[in-house]
Amino acid sequence: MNISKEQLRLIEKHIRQELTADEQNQFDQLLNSNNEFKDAVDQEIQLKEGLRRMSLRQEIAKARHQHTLKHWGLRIGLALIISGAALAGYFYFNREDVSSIFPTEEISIETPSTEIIHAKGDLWNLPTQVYSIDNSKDNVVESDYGIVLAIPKNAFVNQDGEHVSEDITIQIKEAFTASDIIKAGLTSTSDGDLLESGGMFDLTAMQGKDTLALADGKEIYSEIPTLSKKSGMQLYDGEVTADGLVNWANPKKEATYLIPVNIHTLDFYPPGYIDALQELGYGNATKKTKDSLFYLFYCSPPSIEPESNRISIEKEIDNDELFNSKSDYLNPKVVAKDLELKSKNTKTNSNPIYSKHGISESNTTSLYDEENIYASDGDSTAGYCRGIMPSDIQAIWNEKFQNTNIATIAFEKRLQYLYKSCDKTLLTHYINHLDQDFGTLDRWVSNHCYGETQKTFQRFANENLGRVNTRKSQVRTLAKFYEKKRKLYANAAKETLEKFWAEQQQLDRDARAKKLANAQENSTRKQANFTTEFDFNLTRVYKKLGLKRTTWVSGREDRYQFVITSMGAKNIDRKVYAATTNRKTTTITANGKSTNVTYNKTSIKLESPRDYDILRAYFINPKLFSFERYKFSNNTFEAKLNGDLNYNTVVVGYKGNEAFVWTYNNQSETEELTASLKAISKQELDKLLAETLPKQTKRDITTDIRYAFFEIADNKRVKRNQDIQKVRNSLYSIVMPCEAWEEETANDEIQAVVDSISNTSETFKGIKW
Amino acid sequence: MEEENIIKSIRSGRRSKAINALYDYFPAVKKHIKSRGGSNHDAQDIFQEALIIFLKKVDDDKFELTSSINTYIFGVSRFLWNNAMRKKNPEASTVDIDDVVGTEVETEEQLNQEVLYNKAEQALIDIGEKCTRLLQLFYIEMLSMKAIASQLNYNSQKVASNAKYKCLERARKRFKSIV
Repeated sequence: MNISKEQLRLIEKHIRQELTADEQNQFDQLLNSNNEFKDAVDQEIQLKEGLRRMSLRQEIAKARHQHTLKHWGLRIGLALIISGAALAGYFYFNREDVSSIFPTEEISIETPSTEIIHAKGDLWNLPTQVYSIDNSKDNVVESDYGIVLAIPKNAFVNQDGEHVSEDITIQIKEAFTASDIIKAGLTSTSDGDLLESGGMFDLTAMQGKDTLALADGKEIYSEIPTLSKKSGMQLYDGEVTADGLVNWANPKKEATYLIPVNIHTLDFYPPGYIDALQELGYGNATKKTKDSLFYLFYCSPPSIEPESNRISIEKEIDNDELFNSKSDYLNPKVVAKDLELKSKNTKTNSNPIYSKHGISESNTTSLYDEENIYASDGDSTAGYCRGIMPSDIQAIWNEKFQNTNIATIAFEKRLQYLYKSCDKTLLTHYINHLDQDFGTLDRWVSNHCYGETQKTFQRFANENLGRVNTRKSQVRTLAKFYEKKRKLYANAAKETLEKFWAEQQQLDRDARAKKLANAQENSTRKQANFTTEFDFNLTRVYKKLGLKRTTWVSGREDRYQFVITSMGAKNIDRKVYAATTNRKTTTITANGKSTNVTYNKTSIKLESPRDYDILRAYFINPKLFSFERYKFSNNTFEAKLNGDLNYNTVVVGYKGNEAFVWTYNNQSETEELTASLKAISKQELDKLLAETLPKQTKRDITTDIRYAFFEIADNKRVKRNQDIQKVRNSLYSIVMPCEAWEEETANDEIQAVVDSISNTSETFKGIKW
Repeated sequence: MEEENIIKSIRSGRRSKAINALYDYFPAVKKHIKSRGGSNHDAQDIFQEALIIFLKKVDDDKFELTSSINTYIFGVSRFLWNNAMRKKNPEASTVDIDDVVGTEVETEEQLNQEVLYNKAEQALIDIGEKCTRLLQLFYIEMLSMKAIASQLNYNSQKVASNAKYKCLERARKRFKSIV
């Protein structure tokens, strides 16, 4: 729309009726000649009308509210007449949530009255609203005035106490306006006193012409609409007196039922637990993971830790840097995964490398096995700890406790303080009395604790909260369920962890044995290589110098023991020995001649060495006992190769289970090589090594690589155990605040002793000994 | 309250009292709408709409009521409900407005105009509370920009003017997109 600002101003003035005569002329002209202008005017008028409507709507809403209040001002008392033997309670809740009080699947919601009967000759001279219901289902009925009745299934029985199902009608008469109350001939007298009433209604259940009664233990819950809730409203039963009037009797207090929420959306963890997880990097963990970490704490004497948690792994030579380069197992998610509760007895490959390389998987862990929970009776963990244990929470934070007091925000709030109380009996009181109001329970708790906790629960008690409607039979069942599960879960956690650490200890022992064996093999190989290489060098040097090599004894256990026949020879041997040991080019002069023992520096670079899980570079000469390894540093393999030996270099890499290889025939000179590894199947690699290497060397390389795989897996295992322990240590004081408190106290006491000793030492400082 | 007094109250600015009295007519409308498939909520909406139309009519000094207020409000409500139903299900039979309200009360065209204004109202709701308040102060309560600036805490009259311009533009655009 191309309307100028000036034109807009004209429109605005027009709307506000502020146009001068000149402007009016201008406006009229534009209106007649410019369609765009006309549209803009129309639109602004429409918007103004919209604004006017908004203002009116606001006024209407306000006035309506006053109207309703005024209307309610006329009301006198809330009452219920029992017709037949119907009994009713009433409660306040959101209409949408009516279904929440019915744990069953099927609920029939009745639409407003199907027929209006004008009852004649009875006390309530008011129209009767009739609703058909199916007694075999839960029903919700809403009256014309808006009373909502939640009728549980099988609520009604006939006069003989038999369950009825067909042709059931609910008949409601309601008097909520002053005129209705007068019309009905009702008064609001209770034993001669006048009541302030919030309205009256009459509820009758019929089957045909027979009046029905409420079955034993059944209750109908009602919601009665009110604009402003007054405290102290009570529900009275109407009794017809001898003179035909109604007397209101048996007042019942309002049942302030609580609305349960989905129990899994509540937070039953101890205070600070979630924050601590956040700090440990578990902020985004699933509830399952959070639960797993939490439920695996149990009341225990100091935990048995495998050695791997205490010792640091000695770094193996050469390529260890590489092993650690891809330390994804540092990720807490991996720990969490290992700690996840397993609902079924399934074995999972917590570490893929184990299974890929044929290392027994049976020792790896599935930490938690629900099946085992039922394996033992009694609570073997009881007696050590005070306060609420994770197993106590696990026993209530589940489906069974849906739709009970436990599944409420009120309970969630109280639980935080129950944790701090360090007194489990307080929690148990709530669990064992699910049929009581929070108000009553809070009062009991406040009378059974001290200090801050008492003050807090006194405050809760003053809120006078009600409860979730829970069936009595359900209450008993749940109390038993809790007691049983609490023990089972505690044992399960204990057994799971003990089993886990016992397994880890065994794995530690196995790993140590393997490491020792490997170290021995390495040492033997190096020793044998050295001996053969020294022998070779020495023989060669003697020859070059024109000397005759005499009684060199090799292969004895005590190394380097020579029978020295001449001084010269001894010197030569020492020089050759030093050259071989240091792998350093050395000139040896004797007998008027000179010769060299030569060592050439060889380096191998390759692309992205850190992409490999395992990477080893070997140099091999058939004359030597077995392979030698290049050292890896600064992303480069380096070695000093004997210039008088012809070597082959083999570089083997693994990415996961995929093998890569590069081979090279070394020249006897300083070389800077670049290896380009090619993927190779394991069989082909095996074949290649068999063809190019002496048998012993090939066997040794295979063993070396297998050990590398083992070491990676084991390092991961150990690191994971350390992580688990670290996480558990960090969480301990939060999950077991009461125990941690004791421990802290103990530590303080120890510290006090230590301090007193050091103070004593201070005083000794001045004494001269 | 007598019907005449209701009209007097509205015209003398004591609308709240009048509306209060008008709500006595609600049960009949509710019953009608519920008997024709509407909910309590629908009945509330329709009745409120009828009240708005009635109040606007009464604001017009030329308006003279020839039927009873009850009949008028019931008639308008009934028309609005039928209209809503017709939009939902165009094949359903239509009711002639004249049959319902009486020739002297309203024409269908006028009522349809209100439906358009209702959309303008919707557009205004969409532009946010502060904007609508600003526009209400300017166009309905006829305050000066200076007074508006002070009431809505704008730093200056100019800032308030700019804000009003922007709000109006937004309302125009929104309105255009939903009409």
